[in-house]
Amino acid sequence: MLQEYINLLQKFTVKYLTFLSFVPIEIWYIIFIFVAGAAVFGGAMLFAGLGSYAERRVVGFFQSRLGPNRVGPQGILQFMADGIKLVMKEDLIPAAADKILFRAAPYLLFIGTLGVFAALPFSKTIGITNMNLGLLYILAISGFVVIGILMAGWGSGNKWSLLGGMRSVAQIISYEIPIGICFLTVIMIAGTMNMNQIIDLQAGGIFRWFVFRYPPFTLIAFLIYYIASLAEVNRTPFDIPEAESEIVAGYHTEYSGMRFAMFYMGEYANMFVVAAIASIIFLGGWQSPLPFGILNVFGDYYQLLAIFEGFCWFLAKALFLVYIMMWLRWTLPRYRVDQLMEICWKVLMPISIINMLLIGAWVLLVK
Amino acid sequence: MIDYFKAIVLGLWSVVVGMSVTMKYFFAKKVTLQYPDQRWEMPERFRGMVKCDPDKCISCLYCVNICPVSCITLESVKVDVPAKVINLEGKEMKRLKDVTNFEIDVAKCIFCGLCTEGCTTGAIFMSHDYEISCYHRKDMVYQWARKKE
Repeated sequence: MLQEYINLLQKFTVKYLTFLSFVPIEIWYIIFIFVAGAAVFGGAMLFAGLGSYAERRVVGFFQSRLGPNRVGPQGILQFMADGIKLVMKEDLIPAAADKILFRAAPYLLFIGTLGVFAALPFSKTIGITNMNLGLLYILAISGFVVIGILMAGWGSGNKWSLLGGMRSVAQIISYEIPIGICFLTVIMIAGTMNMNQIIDLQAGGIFRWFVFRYPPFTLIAFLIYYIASLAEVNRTPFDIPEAESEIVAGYHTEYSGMRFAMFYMGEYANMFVVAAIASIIFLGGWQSPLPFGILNVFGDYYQLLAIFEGFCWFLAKALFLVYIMMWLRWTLPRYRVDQLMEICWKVLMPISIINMLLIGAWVLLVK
Repeated sequence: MIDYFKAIVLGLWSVVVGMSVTMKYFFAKKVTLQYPDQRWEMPERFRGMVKCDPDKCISCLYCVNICPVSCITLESVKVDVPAKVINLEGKEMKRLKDVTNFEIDVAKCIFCGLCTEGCTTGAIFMSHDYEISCYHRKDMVYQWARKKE
């Protein structure tokens, strides 16, 4: 995908911006990397900001309140006001903190999230990269989040932070296994780790999506992935790393100002990321639920709009899953640590393994 | 083994039940009152800020004397032609004085309502105003007069 964009850019320059044609292609690569990085960063920030606004608004509705509705139309600019407030806050570093770890932790955490954003196919041609090992890459790079959290917990020099960090790492590492197995299930069905190819295989209406492809096994895999991803992003009912009533705010207890904002945005961007992955591997990504694209009937002239339509479908699916996360958060109480581990090792793990084996057998038999 | 699956199904079912409960609240009527735009309607006997109608005041000094915190100051002058005032019982009364300065120091007022209970003409009454905060102490002193001097 990167190559395509570079070629497009070069063609454009050769045709229209002749005075720039002396620029070698390496420079274009560097420029494109910066532009793509800025796009990813901006997009992630936007999702995180709007996510925090949406969360507060949705919570309000669930609690018979209205939520923020003052800044901008329906309060949609609330996240900007919050951001400005956080930028102006004093940047505190505790005396007992390990200064290097304390400073580096939020960035490392954010890198994990942004790295995943770079691999997401938002639509047929909207996306930064088109990796052959997309799913593996996502599984690997999201491990950065764990390191960031552990560094924050250790570096804060605070018992609550340390407890929160340890809990979070134990939780994320445990729940990464069911997630990996669910990925494996999808990889077995699709025969590829390339997310664009996985999405292409799900073309042609709602019943071609992987959730409904091998009933009920893929549905079970989807549920397991969804539950495990809730734990992966430390959301209620699995929010023991930041359980307010037990350990203040967990690993980001000591953080304030912009560093805290990084954690906060990382959390919301992560929410979107896991929802987006779920919608890619199980709900057909940017494929329309109808057997044909709505705008395809108009013919080739509307190709560009069809890409946009795919983008909208993708966003709709991902945001719906994010909404269900919020819905769950304000419905369920928090699990104890032992219950959390029990769910992972005694329920999700064995079921997902058996599920995977059954799907594997089915796929083999059908082929 | 059966218990194991039973627990899983039961757990998922209880989540669904809980989510249906929260969903009801999602679409329920919101209880928030958008305060500066919308307000509660005050009950009839709500004791807000004390106000005065100097046209009705006959300068009997009842309120000044009964006020437990002495927050009311009343100054008046005699008039040549007495005006007629209708009191709360519907009878006509003569008003021999004109109020030149009727002061209520709301900072001192305890909103007990004693001044309004004995006022024969209803000149002093408790309004429904409750947004009476201000930046300076002198703004808390409210003044009324029939004749500006």
